[in-house]
Amino acid sequence: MATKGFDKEAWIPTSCNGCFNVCAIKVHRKDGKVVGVKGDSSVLSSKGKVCGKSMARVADLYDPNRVTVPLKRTNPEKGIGVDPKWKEISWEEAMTTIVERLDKVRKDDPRKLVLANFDLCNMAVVSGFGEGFGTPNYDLYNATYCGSGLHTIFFLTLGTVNSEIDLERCNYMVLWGAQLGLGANNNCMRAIDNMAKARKRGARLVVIDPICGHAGAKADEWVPILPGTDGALALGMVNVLLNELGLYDAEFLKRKTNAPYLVRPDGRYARDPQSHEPLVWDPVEKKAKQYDAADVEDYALAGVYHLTDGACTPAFELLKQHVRKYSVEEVSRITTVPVDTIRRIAREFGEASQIGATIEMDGQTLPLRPAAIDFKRGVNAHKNGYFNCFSLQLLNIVVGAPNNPGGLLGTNAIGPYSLWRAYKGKDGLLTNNHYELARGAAFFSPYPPKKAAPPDSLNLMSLFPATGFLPAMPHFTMHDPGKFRLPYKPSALIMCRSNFIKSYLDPRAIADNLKKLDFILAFARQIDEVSEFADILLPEAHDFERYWTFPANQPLGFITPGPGKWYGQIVQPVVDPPPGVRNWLDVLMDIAERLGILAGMNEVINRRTGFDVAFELGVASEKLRPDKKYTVEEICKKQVEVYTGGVPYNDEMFRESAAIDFYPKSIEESFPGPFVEGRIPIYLEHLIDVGEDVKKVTKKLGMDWWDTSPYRPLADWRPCPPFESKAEGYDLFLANSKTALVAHSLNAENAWIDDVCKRHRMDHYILVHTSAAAKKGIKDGDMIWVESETEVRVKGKARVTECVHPKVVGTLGNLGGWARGKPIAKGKGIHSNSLIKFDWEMVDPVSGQIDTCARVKIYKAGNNNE
Amino acid sequence: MSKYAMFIDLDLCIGCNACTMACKAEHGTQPGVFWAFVLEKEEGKQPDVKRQFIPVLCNHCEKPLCEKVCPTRATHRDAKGIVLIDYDKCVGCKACISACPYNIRTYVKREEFYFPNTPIPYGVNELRGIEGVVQKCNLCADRLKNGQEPACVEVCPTSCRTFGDLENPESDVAKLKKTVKSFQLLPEMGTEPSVYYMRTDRKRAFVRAK
Repeated sequence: MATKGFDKEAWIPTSCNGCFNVCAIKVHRKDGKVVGVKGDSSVLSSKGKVCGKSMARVADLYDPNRVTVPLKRTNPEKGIGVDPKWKEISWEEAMTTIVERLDKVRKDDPRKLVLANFDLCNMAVVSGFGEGFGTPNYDLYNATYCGSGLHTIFFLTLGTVNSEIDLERCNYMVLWGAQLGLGANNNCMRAIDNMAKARKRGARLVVIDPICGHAGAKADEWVPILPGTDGALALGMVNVLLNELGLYDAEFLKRKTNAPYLVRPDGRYARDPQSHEPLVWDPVEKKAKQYDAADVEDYALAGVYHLTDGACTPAFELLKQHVRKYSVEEVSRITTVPVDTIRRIAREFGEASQIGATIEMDGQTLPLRPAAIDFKRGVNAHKNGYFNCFSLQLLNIVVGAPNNPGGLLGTNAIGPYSLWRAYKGKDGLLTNNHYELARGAAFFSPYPPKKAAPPDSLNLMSLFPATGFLPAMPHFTMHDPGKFRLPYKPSALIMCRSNFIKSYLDPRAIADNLKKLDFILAFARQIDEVSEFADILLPEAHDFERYWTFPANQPLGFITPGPGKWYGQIVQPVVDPPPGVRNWLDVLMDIAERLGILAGMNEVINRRTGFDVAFELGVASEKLRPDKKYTVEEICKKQVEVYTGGVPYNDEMFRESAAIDFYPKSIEESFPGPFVEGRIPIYLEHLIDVGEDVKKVTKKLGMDWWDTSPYRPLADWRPCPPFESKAEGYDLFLANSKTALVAHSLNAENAWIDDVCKRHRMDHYILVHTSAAAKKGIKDGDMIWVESETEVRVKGKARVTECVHPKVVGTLGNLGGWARGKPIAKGKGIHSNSLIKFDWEMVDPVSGQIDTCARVKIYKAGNNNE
Repeated sequence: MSKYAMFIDLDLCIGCNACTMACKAEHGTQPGVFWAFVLEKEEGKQPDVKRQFIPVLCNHCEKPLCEKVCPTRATHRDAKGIVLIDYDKCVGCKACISACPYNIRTYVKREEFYFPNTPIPYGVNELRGIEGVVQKCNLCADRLKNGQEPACVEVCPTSCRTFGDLENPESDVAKLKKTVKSFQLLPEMGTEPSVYYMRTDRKRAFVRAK
């Protein structure tokens, strides 16, 4: 039966889930069908604009390849390319089997269940199911996509999970392995608008990237760089600023960072003998004082001071000396960026930051630093990812850009209602509570670090005490649980909206993992590559057919930082799903009821949605009861009540607009830099202890092979493992870039998107530099093989171009699908992850980041395409 | 009288193809048929390489060569300067395709759907059953009648397109025509397009200023 009112023609406000950006849209319903999409002009996230992906959602919705009935595998053999021989079954049969299988797992050892999904805002429910069931393994999703180094460094230096340039005020914007405001990256539509305006008013855009993608194309200057060498370039530029130009924000460093902290010869802070707090040197009174003592007249950044602990040096002086080894000449050799370019960009950036400048805002005088470097996956997705990101962030820090007007803003370090807080933590350093609020999405506290311990979960959290984000390890632990001394072997998997066999490394390794499991339940809209391994497959609703938990736009990442307002966006159904198709989370709650785990699940949902606190404060009329089964719709509407501060949900709230406004951001929420007390580290003293702690624990576990050598307080650059490879003939490096139309592998299975991509000059091609092509006799349009050291090869058409680094083979998006249930995406473009080695040597032992570098060779495919 | 014109700021276009998709969604064009799309051009060698995105659509020429060669007068220019095709009159002779210097017209032999058995529903049905004809952009004539801008203009995330009536001196396009340096595609063809492009060559200026 149709939902009441769904036969009426209307434009329904909701939020798009065509990528992770949740832009506010309006969806046109006519005769019970969706016939169009446009931006919701009443909401800041889109201001009435949408991208091509969103316009094309109609083609997702009515794709005849959608799964609409429960399916059971009849072929016991599993593998890439193996036909599961699906057989249609009833919902009741499916549910009975699922509950029976899961109950067996739970009675055996609940930790053996793994949950994988990338259904962002619903992670409160998914983690609720996981914890209710009794497994800590509910946060497996993507790996190479997101950033273990990146998010950790933003936690440490911005007090939040992500970054955006203050595009409204910045004059010198550097996008480094990132395409903010150019069709990819955060808050996509709002950022595109702001970036267009910034460029129009004359702000300069420099793009540092192996590939001239959308960002490079619009840059005033595109600087091709060898992949994975970003950290070296950044440290070279820090060297130029500190040692060649003396261009840095001394006041910011003294008052907002740990630059003045005195460091003992053993690398640890000199501490006050009574309070144990770190010491600084006051050059006026010529004595050491506690860093936060009220009577510090000035902070020494240079010099050596003899305390009872020995000769102590301010951290800044150590950094200044340390970066000397990154001479511009040496850095140029590593990165291939010319010496003059390195010096010039460092100087331009330093001068554009207008050190000392101020701006009047809201009756307050704030520092103005209109220069910023933003960086994302390109810099992060390397073995040295943590320190690559930290090295780049040092550039922002030394000019005083973090969280100040014009500079690099954390995505809402503080706000709304002070639920999101960045504050002064241990040793006076910046810390925050965001990871707690990230709703079970593999976020952890990177600072203060945790204590190392023998692993209990697949993500190995307890062996990465200093990381803030750790989604990539479960594939390694599932591969070889014994290697990591995991006390159990996973046996069952529930997955939805996470095609990790395609978004992770070498699919052959992931296939091995999946084959070892006894039972896999997949929810899918289309049977993608990973769903082909399922034992039971259930149809999943499109986001035009379901509720999400509220708000769709978590302040953590989906409200543009800087001035504006706090608002909450809804995802609400526009049409009914096809008969028999349901929101997977409602099914999950049915399963929870049958398993008898509702109480535990609801308790976690109460905690992660804030129902608990709201109920205590009297804002929510009630929280979830332990014995009752709820729907996602009920939870969503209850959240509206909580977020509005007690206004019960009613149907009028979201009739005209996808969002309700809460209140305007205060100046402190817009630019927390001058207001938050925590200091930003330039010297990561805590890593010394963490390294020793991890060493002790891994040694005790007999895991002597665990490398703790990168745990050092000062940033360094280390080459990616493939750089040191001895294999002959693999003379090129692999790099990948996002496109505006394909943000995830799921976008490729869209008939309209595919039709546009087919016409593109780049999307389905392998980018080969003119010089490499000439050397190998490859002509534009030739079919070529790209072969990696792992002896995997992929085939595609060559695009001979100058838009790629001469030593790099470029690929675009996550394409090259092979699933038979995705006939549109099948065989289109290149699957570059296939070429990346699945090996522990690719893992950053500090952050858990995985290196996506690969050494490859290219050659023409023969006449018979061999 | 009015004379529609569109100005496209090439500095702003990021090649995201939202316009391409908005056009497809608006008109329900069939697979492989695009009335609006984004061309790409690469020029130069590193370090001075340029990758340029150029959104294109029917130029709605003041002196359309397609109109001249149309034997059935299916292609005609209306009072507001929109070049339209009357699909009832078009016999699919393709003379216009040869005549159009902008390669913007497509011959549709048979109506096709993205999903043959379950056509994607569209907001409009203007092209259902239209086959054996040449198709192209109609400047969203129906939207204009409703006081809306063409779909490609409304959707553009960078707002790189400005649309309006050149005859109205208060319009943004009239002001742009007066104040900003712009160019039309293939002016030597004498077609007098209604689509104008703007571009400043600021790329790498900072390097030269060194």
